[in-house]
Amino acid sequence: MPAAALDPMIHAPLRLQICAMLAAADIVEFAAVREMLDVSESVLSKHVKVLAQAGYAAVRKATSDHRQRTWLALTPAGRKAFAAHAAALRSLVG
Amino acid sequence: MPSTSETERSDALRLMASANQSMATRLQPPAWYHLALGLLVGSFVALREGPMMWTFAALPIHAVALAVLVRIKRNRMGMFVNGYRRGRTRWVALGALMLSMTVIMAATYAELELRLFGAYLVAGAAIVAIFTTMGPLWLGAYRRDLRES
Repeated sequence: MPAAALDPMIHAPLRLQICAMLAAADIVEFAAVREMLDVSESVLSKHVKVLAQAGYAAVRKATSDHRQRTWLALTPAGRKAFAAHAAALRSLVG
Repeated sequence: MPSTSETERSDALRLMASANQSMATRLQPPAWYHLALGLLVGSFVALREGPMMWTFAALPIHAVALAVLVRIKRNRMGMFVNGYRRGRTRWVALGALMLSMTVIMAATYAELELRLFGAYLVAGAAIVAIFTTMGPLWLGAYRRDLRES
């Protein structure tokens, strides 16, 4: 499979991990992703913004238990793109 | 479009595996969750032992309690995973659903046709057991699915 099948929006290591995490759930809290990746809020925000601008991720803020929480999810387009990217990686490695 | 070396691609796959591992580890509902869910559904079924009015009255209460239970779990773990997601998990969830439906249908038959009163109470208890057993099985299936994805 040609390298063109790899998606530049997903290819950056951190974004790849964010997508993998979001693909494994329906929604994941921003704080949980940040904790699992062990990165700063600003770094995660920057990558989430790239994914959101590409239409791959959705960001929703909600107040729950007197706390403002930010929830992240892959959009259907994001799930499709991530699945294609993962498949391309696997086929390239063989 | 990114052009990558074999090493870079292998690293990317390792990163994905590591992300999946983090999610599998983090998806750990509170120890009481499956029992509470089973008690909620089981008690709703057991209420059929009484007048139909009890079931109608309990429906909104149980629906709200279910929403609260799911919200507590979601907020504690920082994530929500649909029980019917593709993979082994779907089969475990469908298995739990089929078992529960079979138990309810058997109880209905026992009550209406055989006049065996108390069948819905037994069905409720059986559903508590089904949910308590299938919950951890579902978690195991989720983790296996992630390990192999």
